[in-house]
Amino acid sequence: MSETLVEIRDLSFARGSHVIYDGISMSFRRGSVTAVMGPSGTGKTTLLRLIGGQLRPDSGDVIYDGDISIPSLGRDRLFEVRKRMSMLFQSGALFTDMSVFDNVAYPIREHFRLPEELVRTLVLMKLETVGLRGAAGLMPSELSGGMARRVALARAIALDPELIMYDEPFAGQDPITMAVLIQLIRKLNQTLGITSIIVSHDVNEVLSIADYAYVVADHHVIAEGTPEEIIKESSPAAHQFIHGIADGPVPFRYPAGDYLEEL
Amino acid sequence: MNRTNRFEFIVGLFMLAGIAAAVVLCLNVAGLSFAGNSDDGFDVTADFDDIGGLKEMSPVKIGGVRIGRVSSIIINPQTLSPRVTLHISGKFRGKLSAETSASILTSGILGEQYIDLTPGFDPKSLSEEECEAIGCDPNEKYIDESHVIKDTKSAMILEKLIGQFVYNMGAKSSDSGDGKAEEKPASDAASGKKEQ
Amino acid sequence: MSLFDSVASLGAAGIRFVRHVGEAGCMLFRALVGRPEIKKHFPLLVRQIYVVGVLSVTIILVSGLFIGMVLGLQGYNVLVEFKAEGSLGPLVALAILRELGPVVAALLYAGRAGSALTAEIGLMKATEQLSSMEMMAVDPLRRVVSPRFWAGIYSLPVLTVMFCVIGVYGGKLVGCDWLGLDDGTFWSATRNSVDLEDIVNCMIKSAVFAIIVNWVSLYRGWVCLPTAEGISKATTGAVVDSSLLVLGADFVLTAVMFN
Repeated sequence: MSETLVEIRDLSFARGSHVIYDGISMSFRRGSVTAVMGPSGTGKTTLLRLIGGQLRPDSGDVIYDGDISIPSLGRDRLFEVRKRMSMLFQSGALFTDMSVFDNVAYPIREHFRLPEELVRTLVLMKLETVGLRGAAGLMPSELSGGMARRVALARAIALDPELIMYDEPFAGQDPITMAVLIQLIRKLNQTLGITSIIVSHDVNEVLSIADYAYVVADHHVIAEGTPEEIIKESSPAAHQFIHGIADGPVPFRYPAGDYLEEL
Repeated sequence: MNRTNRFEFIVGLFMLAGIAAAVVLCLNVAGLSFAGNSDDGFDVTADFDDIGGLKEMSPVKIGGVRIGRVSSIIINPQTLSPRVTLHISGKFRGKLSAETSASILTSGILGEQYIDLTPGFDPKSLSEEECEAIGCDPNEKYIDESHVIKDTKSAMILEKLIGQFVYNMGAKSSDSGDGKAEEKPASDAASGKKEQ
Repeated sequence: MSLFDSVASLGAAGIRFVRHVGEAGCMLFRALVGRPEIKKHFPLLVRQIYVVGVLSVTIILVSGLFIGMVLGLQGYNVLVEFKAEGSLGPLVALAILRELGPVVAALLYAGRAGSALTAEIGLMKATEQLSSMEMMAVDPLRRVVSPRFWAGIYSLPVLTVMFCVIGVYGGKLVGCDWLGLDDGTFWSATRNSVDLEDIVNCMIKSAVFAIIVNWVSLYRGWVCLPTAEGISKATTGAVVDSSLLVLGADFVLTAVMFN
């Protein structure tokens, strides 16, 4: 049992010629909520996929639980490790051809041979955690966006993972749903001790639950620290992002030639 | 019936319908009968001079009813003439007399070719002497495994037929020409007689 | 320079093609090879046979009937001039069994089921369902692609047989019941000229076409760009590619089988 559950060491990743990360390092402490923030388009989702082993870094390493190097794992070993983590996708990614109940039961049925009654008990328990036990019979198309995300959360915790990665959990949600989600994430973290990584650009919401935060921009970590430290952060780029200022080190304009010349 | 069961049921019906369709295809369209395919049949061979368009799997018929199929066609190494092996349904074992003859016929003008068997008379009614008189082996009165049919008639080949026809025509016309030449003086004589 | 460019683009297209074939081969290999888990896969397979097979029955039967009827009508009109209308049965049966049955059924299947497979896989990709499956330590190739592939392999030959039977009966309907041909002649002429070999070849063709259509459709869905435009392009591409490949493969198979 190491103190750090996930550690990213000097990792570089590029899509074609488009560099996304250039030698970043981060560490995520066991049992804590860590936020990764940054402007859109900086590859925050890519970071989660790198941790989950869906993408392989060009160089550097992702260390899971002290001694497991995710990029070097074979397919079978990777699947074993993935049973210990789970991911909440931005869209929820519920299986549209199954009911809510079957969606939550899916990972349980896939990995364990349990009698149907036990599966039922487990699923209803998970659904109760997110407050949607009454919606078990609905199809995903009948759910609102916020409900779909909560069902996805129930599915994500179905196997009692030690790590949950949240990909933009608050994007496009109304204030009530946001509050519900924040409360759920905190509850899961506090009562079950699930390590959480939240990728988001909703600064205020994330900082209200995070124990530690990273701000990523321009292929690098530009700021890190506890929420208080982040808010007081003085580097111009981080300051611009956290306080939402239109123009600054991150320019308002996309790089272009001389305006007069083009006209 | 729950959802999964219903799917299984419908898919089962689908598969059964497919199998039924395949059976219909085999029996009704291709006209295969399972009895004909059962392998209690026996092989006999027949040498022909010319098999025309006969192919393996061509039918073997008696009076138009199929009783077997051609199972192989090879060249008899001794006589260098085609040797055809007929696979005949087991029902006819010991029913066809050794006198049976085989000829290659065509169904319709342009149809496919088949082997027609003409059964000889029933050898049971023959005494041994009579049997010897017509040249059949008294110990082998019936067709059975590896019998060789000696009395065969080859396929009609259109070119040969036309050739024969033209030859005959030629022969006939020269015949009739001669006849006319011979006839003329006679008729002359007749008319001469009349005139006289 | 433009000549140079066009030769270069030809080469690039060649390389791209080979890479696609290789990638598609890898996909199929990873989807199909592995220890089978019959208990888990069987319900998925049944479900997919329902989707790609049972739901295609209507279009197959209706098209088969009409194609048989048209063949009967056209064939009769031509044959009657030669007083050879007795050969209508062989004409219809052989045309359907040897060519039209497997080919048209495969083309209809590509349009009806193949495109749906591509769109479904593409949408699952776009909505991150495939990714989430991977994160749940479930291999989507084995769980999503493999049952769909097998379902197609089972379904298309069954659909083809149905198509052939109803096509022959459609020809018989027009020839015998409407145009007054003797149905005894029809059937006996048909039975004389159709061999078991024709049916077996029909099934072989149909199985090959099933592999082609399902493989192409699933691959196009698997590699499509997860956007609305990407999915629509992949769907069109799946139908076009699989139709062309089916027709090409048909020529090759015919050349091999009937020579």
